[in-house]
Amino acid sequence: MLLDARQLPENETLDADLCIVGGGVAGITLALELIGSPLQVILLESGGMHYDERTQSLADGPVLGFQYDALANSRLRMLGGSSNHWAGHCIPLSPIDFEARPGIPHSGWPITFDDLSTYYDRAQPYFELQTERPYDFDFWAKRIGINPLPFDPDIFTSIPMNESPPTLFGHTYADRLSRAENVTSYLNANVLQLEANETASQVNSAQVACIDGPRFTVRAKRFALCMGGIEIPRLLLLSNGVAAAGLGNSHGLVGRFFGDHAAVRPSMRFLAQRKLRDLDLYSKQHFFETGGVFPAIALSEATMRKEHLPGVLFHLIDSEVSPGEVSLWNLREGMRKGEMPDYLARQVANLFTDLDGVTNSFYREMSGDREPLIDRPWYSPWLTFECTPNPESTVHLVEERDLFGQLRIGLDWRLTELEMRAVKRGTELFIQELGRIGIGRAWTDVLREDYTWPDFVARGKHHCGTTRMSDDPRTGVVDANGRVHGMSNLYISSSSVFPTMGYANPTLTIGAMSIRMADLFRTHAMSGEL
Amino acid sequence: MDRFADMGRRAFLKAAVGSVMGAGAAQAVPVAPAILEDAIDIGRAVLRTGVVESDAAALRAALGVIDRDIATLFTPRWNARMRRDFATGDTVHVAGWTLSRSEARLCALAASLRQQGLC
Ligand SMILES: Cc1cc2nc3c(=O)[nH]c(=O)nc-3n(C[C@H](O)[C@H](O)[C@H](O)COP(=O)(O)OP(=O)(O)OC[C@H]3O[C@@H](n4cnc5c(N)ncnc54)[C@H](O)[C@@H]3O)c2cc1C
Repeated sequence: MLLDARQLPENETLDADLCIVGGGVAGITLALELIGSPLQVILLESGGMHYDERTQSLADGPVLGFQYDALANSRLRMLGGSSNHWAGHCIPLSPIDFEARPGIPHSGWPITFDDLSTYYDRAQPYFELQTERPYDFDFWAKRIGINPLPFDPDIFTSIPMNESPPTLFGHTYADRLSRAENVTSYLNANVLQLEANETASQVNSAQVACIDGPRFTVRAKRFALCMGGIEIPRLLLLSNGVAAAGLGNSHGLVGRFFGDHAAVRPSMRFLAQRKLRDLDLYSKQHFFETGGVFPAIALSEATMRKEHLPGVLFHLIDSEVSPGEVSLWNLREGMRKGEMPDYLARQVANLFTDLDGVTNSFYREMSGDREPLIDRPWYSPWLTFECTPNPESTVHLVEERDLFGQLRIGLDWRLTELEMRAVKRGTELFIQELGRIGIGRAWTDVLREDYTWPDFVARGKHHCGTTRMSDDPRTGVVDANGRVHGMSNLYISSSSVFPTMGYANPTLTIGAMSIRMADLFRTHAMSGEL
Repeated sequence: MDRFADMGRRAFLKAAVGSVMGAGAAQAVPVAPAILEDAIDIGRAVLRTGVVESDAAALRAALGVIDRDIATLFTPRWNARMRRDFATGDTVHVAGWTLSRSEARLCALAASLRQQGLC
């Protein structure tokens, strides 16, 4: 059933075996997997079927550290959650991402890739993706009919990122949720607090409120938090009725280790000898009857191990924007703001020496035409990098309040030297491979000694690490099953449990982990553990 | 001011990608004058950056060439060496461009010979 919580009477108490908080990818997948199980499930979703300004305002909060999107824009509060505005790129984590890696402090999961691999297979259909050899690069290159670039396998690996349509989980699965007999989903239901027993070892109930509607209580034997990597720590920290530091926070880890995938777009511009068809394999998305593939180029495990580097991923963007055009834009911006742009000498030089690039820019502006007058094979690869686990990178409660009077959460994201090293070394190796293979030559600022983070570093809005997984309660908030340490019945399914995040977009893994959690809950239900 | 105050795309395309990297006969064929001019411009930028040897003799020795006629230098015979440079990370940075050390030396040699009025 799919119900509007605003229709409930004031102070109602609802009972269930399992209460899922959050109806995004994680919550919906968990609920769908439990349809037909012996469990009575309640799913509580803050939003409705559509975007609502006031509900969305609950997600707001200040950005306190490194540049970031406004928090209210970096996820969505409605059924389906952020899948209502995601891009649909899917890729599993790599085996190395699960390992404790020398040179990457705090890295490693308490589970391995093999523990998740069958769940990855089962997750594919939820994202409307192909199921036949989805991550076999040679298979897809053959189907597309273009040969992969011959990168040195010790340096780079081609990977077939899968493309979801992208699946909007709310709209796609609302029907199945409404027909489910043992799952009742409540829309417009905002969980404000979890009430624990006197030793803070078990959650008894969730306190829920509707905007312009009733407040009510949900009691359950088990709770699964699926509200994403920012709202989950927020709710744990707000649930401080018994444990002053919040639930699951006896070691002060809730909200720490925030990470996201960031990207330098572009990290270089390269000039290919000619329009190489091989490059089309990587510079386009290729769609099929089911699913699609967007090939990308990842730093190899061998190099990551040898040089102790975080994960790095390149997307080949066919931009037709040359350094000359960039220079022109920079000069104009600089003049507009009344300041000189960086590296002025080079900008001027580029203007004089890259005349057809500048012609393109003027031509496009004058004609309003997006097609360049002079067609040249420029590519502007985007470099996405893994953020390494950093305890100083946090989300934490701030003194601002939302419309329920609840403390908001602020984001203090911090990058380290390791990420900068990954960007520089990744760029350098990529340029060297372009030269070795004979593709072309590249121009970049990234390799300058005085290079610093650019004004715009793209963010994936992949909120990872804030309730990280570890066997040891001193180094993690949840155990290998996603259960909050020290609590018997509180579970989390989210990228917030990722202790290390690789370069892979996280949502396929979130889906896989929800399926794994559903299996665990079914087993517990059968064995009477629930 | 040099026509090439800094390394530019157009010259680079012709000199590095167009002639040296371009597929073609392996034997030495005289290089087109425009390409030589571009290579000289690139060479000046390389010399200014100081990333390779600065005089013709040292450049010749580093490259292992004895050719007297600079115009026959720019042939596809350098391709394998340039690729090897990239493979081993033997590269130099000139005005934001990453070049193989050998191609940087070749261009620098051309510029240095021009300076001496030898080509
Ligand atoms: C612009 C953009 C593009 C993206 N592109 C990609 C991509 O290409 N590939 C990829 O893998 N990932 C991508 N992502 C990330 C992806 O959207 C998330 O990883 C994914 O949606 C997370 O799923 P989730 O269920 O954990 O959280 P969400 O989808 O955020 O869902 C959480 C749900 O919980 C609800 N909720 C929150 N607080 C409460 C509360 N207190 N009570 C009740 N309900 C609550 C919210 O309303 C929401 O519906 C993108 C994200 C953005 C913003």
